[in-house]
Amino acid sequence: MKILLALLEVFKNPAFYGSVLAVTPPLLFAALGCSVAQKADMTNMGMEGIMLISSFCGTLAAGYIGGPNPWLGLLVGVIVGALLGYLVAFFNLKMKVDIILVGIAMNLLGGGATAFFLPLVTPNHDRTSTNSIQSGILPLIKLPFLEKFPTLNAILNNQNVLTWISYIMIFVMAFLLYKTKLGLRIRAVGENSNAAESVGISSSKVKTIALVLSGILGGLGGTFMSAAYLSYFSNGITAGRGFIGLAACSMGEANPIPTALTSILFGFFYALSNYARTTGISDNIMKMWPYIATLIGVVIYSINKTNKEKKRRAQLSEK
Amino acid sequence: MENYLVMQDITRVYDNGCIANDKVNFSAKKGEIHAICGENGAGKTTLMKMLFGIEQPDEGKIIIKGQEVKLTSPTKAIEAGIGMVHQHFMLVPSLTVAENVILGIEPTKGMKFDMDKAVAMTEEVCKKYGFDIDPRARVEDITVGLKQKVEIVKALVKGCDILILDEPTAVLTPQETAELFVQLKLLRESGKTIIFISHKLHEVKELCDQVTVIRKGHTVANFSTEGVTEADISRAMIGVDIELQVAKTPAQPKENVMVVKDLVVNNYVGKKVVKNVSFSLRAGEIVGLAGVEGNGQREMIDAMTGLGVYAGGSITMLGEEVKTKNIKGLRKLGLVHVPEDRMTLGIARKMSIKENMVADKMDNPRYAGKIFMNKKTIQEDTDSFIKEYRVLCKNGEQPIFGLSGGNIQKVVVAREFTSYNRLVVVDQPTRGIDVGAAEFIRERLVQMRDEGKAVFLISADLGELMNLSDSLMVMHGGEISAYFPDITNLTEDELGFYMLGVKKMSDEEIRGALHE
Repeated sequence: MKILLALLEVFKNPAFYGSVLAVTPPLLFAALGCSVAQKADMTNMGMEGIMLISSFCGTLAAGYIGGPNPWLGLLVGVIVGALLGYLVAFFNLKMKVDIILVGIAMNLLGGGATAFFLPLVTPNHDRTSTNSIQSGILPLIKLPFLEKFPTLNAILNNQNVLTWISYIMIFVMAFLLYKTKLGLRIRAVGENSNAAESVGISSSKVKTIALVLSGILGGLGGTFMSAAYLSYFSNGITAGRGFIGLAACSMGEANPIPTALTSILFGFFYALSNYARTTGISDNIMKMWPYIATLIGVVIYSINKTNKEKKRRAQLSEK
Repeated sequence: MENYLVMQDITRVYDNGCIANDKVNFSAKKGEIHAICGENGAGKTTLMKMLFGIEQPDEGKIIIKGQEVKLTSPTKAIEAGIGMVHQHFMLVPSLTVAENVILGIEPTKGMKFDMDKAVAMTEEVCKKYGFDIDPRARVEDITVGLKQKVEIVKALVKGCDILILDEPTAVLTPQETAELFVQLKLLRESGKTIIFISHKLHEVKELCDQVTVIRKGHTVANFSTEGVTEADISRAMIGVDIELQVAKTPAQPKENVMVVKDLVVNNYVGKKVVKNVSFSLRAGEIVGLAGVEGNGQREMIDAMTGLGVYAGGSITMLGEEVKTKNIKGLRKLGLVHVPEDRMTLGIARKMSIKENMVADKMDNPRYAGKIFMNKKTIQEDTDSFIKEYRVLCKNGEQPIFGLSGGNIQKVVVAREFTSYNRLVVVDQPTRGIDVGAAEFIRERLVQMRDEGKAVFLISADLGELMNLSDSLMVMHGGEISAYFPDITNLTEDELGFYMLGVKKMSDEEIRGALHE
């Protein structure tokens, strides 16, 4: 009862919703990135690794080139993400390695390489994070006119610029996938690559583009972790957010809007875990929530999908 | 009128040495519907793939409007004014009709894909050639007949002058077929050249002006459909080849092993492809099944062997309903199956010959206990199987995919024939394998029969069917169109008439296939 009251107190606090908005972006970037790849029938399992490496590279660039320069860090993060996306495409399409295996390799590489290079490239030979270099943080968006409305103010004011970009990205991706020629081709290739090939569309080219876009979004998500969520890179900074993004993508059936809504739901549980202390619930239990929510979500999704499939088959055999 | 399209001395040899086309000649005029007829594997599809740039000829020329062209990709073929409607639809189900139609040549407005323009383009073609399709409908929601029209519109919108239709009526109902023919005749009037691939002779006769017949990679005939009968075309298609004869004594059929009654099977799109078929397979008899591919045999065999489902009627094996058993249960009853697609269903490609040979025998205590396999007996038995079935290989440890097609088939046959069996279903057992291996397999089949097994032989090789079968059924349009309890006086010409639907036996005669 006490706990419920404490939770209620949290839900009444507008700052909590501001926190939801602030923790969702990396999940959102990851999920949108997975969804554009998924639409081209490429499961970007390596999202987590892409995010880690681009976060790492972005932080170094921001810290070493021109003193703290987070914008440069963002640019480098995005470029590295794009390159890694291309790498996934290259290994799968040219070298014919299974896409899931490429993804697993990317994740292992991400965790290992960043941990390995971290002490080599930091001045104090840091082992856990880039505390010894100043990489800065991307600016916050101040909306002074909101100060008159305390609730909205607590939710929307002083959010990071990249947070805003992440929500804008939902609509950008929806536009790209459903309103542009490229989007049409991505969807066509993903659903029936033979059909696309038969009218002269190169399916491997389209798939490569989709994965590069996916990598760019991964780069944005990775950079968010080290230049907005925190102000430095630390080992395993993404903490499974790439995988959660993948889960959100599959629950949203790779459609940008449902995928984004699922990501925000996961973000809600992340924020809740951050508020754990105030509720008196054990920190560790609250930290489990995002993962438990993911698990439940995926189970519900797959049950729905199996039922749909069963229904479809039943209809077929009736005819 | 001048020939609009000429394919001259086209030769295509596949990497495995199979000659698909051997100096094939084909030509078509502007504004005609030209049929290409031939059995499965005759080389029609290969020829068309070369015309549409999917494959390249090893020798020979393709000339369009007097100009030699090199068609190295579908894009090149489309540019040269060729459109193709594939047998399996090349459509994206979740996209709209208009989106499918303009895929590859998408109109844009600024950054956006211009949907209104796409709809307009689709409507324009539809109006010009009299198609009635809603451009904004989703392809997954429309009927098969409409999907086919979308395919045709898709080719027309790219401005094709030559339209290839690969067995377009295979998936259509009779009404849809009639409608398609009206449409195709309209297209002919507007000056399009249509290449119509089919083995339905009445359709060829009804629709086409010219017919070219291909047999075993050669052009064997070119008629104007005016002056020929369906029987003439059929004779040119089937031909007569003298085959090696396997010696056998007259059959002594005994009890029924499998009884199929009023069987109805639907295909994956829900179309009824096996229509109330009844027959029985008896111990000690080889029953042959002839028929042009795509007349329901595939679905019927899948249903009989437990690989597919059936919607109506019954299939019983030794009194047990096949539907209620899984494949393992069926095999316990004594059903063995040499599948047509041996690379997918017959073997595990990456495993050794030995492992493939005993893969189905793990329940047999001779080969495996509860946990461990019995290595020694497996070794001894596979060695003796390899010897008995004359599999050419170094030893049983060799991975199976390194073997030739014939030897792979011998491994499949060895595994199936050495399992407990009462009914042997063999589907195209000698397709694509060398003469020696084929003869060996045929001899084994006769031997199995003499041991009192029921044998069901499905084959596209009429020589093989005529030689091995004791009685013969013909399947056409999802029905048994003929049953010959005795085939001694049957000629291949006669068989061809039933296969192509020129003739059909009375219900009384067909009912003879079911032995009570």
